Amino acid sequence: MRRRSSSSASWRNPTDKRRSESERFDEFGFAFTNRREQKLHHRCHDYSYPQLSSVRVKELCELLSYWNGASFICKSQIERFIRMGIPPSLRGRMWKCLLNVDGVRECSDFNYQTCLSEVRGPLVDLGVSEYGILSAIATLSDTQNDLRLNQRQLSGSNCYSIDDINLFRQIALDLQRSFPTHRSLMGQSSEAIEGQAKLFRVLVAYAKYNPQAGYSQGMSYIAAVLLMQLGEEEAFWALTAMLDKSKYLAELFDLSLTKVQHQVKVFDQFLKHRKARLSKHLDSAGVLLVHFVMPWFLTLFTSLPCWDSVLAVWDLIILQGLQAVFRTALTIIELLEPRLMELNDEETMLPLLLRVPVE
Amino acid sequence: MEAIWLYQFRLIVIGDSTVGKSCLIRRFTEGRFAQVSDPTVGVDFFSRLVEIEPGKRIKLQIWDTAGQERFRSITRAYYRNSVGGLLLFDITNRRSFQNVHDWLEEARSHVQPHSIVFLLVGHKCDLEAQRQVTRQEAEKLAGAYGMRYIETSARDAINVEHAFTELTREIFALVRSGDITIQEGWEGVKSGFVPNVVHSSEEVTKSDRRCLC
Repeated sequence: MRRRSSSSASWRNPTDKRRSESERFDEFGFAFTNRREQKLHHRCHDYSYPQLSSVRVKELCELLSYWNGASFICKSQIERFIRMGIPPSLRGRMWKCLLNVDGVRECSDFNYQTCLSEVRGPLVDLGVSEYGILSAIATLSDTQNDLRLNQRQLSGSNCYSIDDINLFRQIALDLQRSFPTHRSLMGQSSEAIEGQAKLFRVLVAYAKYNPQAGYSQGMSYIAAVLLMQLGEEEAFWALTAMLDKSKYLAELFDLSLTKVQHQVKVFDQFLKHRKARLSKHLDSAGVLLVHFVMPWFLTLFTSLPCWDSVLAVWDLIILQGLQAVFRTALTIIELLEPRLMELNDEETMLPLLLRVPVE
Repeated sequence: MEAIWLYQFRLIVIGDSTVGKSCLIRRFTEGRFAQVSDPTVGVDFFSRLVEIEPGKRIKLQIWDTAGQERFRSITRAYYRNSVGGLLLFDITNRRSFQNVHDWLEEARSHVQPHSIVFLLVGHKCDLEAQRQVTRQEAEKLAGAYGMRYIETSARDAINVEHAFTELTREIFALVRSGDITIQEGWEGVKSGFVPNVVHSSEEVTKSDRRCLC
């Protein structure tokens, strides 16, 4: 599936990482990198998957236009389409329908734009802008240092808190490293600057909207995938739907990560029941599920190497919620089972599970 | 084929978010520098052999950990089974240096009843112009905690090999002197296979001594 890569880009000098004319992207916007780098960023591929016929596409469009989330028939029909493969052009619309983005927004007394203008104050006072993430990181780090060094109390005239600084800084740090080879987030192009700014705003707004969960590493991936399909505010509401509804991931994110650890235990039981032999094999090699299942859950499988499968998995998760998360994890383990059974120690098994190979 | 190694040491790499933990480990285990790397969500795992003396190979199992505070409930489970650790800070970020103390406390309170041999690492030393922590003060701090101090750069491959090898040597010396012993149910140190014969821990130590004479 992997094919030739652009060889002209020099990776030795970091300043060359700017977008150049010769840079190419795959169908889903991931940059082709040179061969040497490919092992590290095995993201870009040439894809070929069955396309939906135009008749089917029309049917899907119709289904979405009279979409009714409460209707069992609608759901079973959409599941049929998901099994056939959703055309990329309709995916955003489908996610919006399934997550009931408009409904969630209308029912909430939270206002995205108001929240952003409230955040604007602290950002301006701190002298940072989401349009310059690198300098924002530097400024926020310096401010943290000053506060600590001088044991200075924040004066009443400032409209930011230490928590704000920590939040802004952690998000800014992760923006640099979430899908760093995707065209909407990569380098210093205007597209990427805009992309990073949007991601920053969505994540900050979510942390303000749900202080019980705040910002957790992993969320930047989920929000970034949503932003690849939806507009900024839509992506924000889609994120709240996914992270707050018990059907989806409400049982995964909290401040201390107790919930996700609990879900991993549930999955462990599930695996013992469904795959007793493999489960025992993992156990005897000392491989703990939490090592690889937790990252799968917290980043919703976005670490899988092929983006068409990531999106297909997401289609199912958005339709079925947490149960699809469990089923996906089980499927990956099943696919790796023959290889895992041949291996006997943690050291060879874990890398396979942490960095699932393309095949 | 199982590579032949005398001992296996389990190491843990800790430090604030984005000080470069994963990049340092990848430089060491894969010999390359990733311009960009994903945030570690939970823990990651790598391994490599090092040769501390001709013919004496040690296998390192390296646990990479997430820097974000909330992941500590997960990463703290790894201290107990580690014999050594690299405690990283970023020389261009003073706060990451100030947090070294907290990291040590965190490790110390969760490693019981064992202990960890730590090496203090000032990372990103290629960024001299942006330095916020002097070598002297880092050495002083390391001294106060009884650690060695090394400055590294994953980008320019400075001292990366050296840092891991030094720590391995230090642990090896402690194992040989009996200050660290192999224990059932503890993953920190395991004895390996010597050609053709599988030794128990004592026998390995004995055969070591013979080699050295």
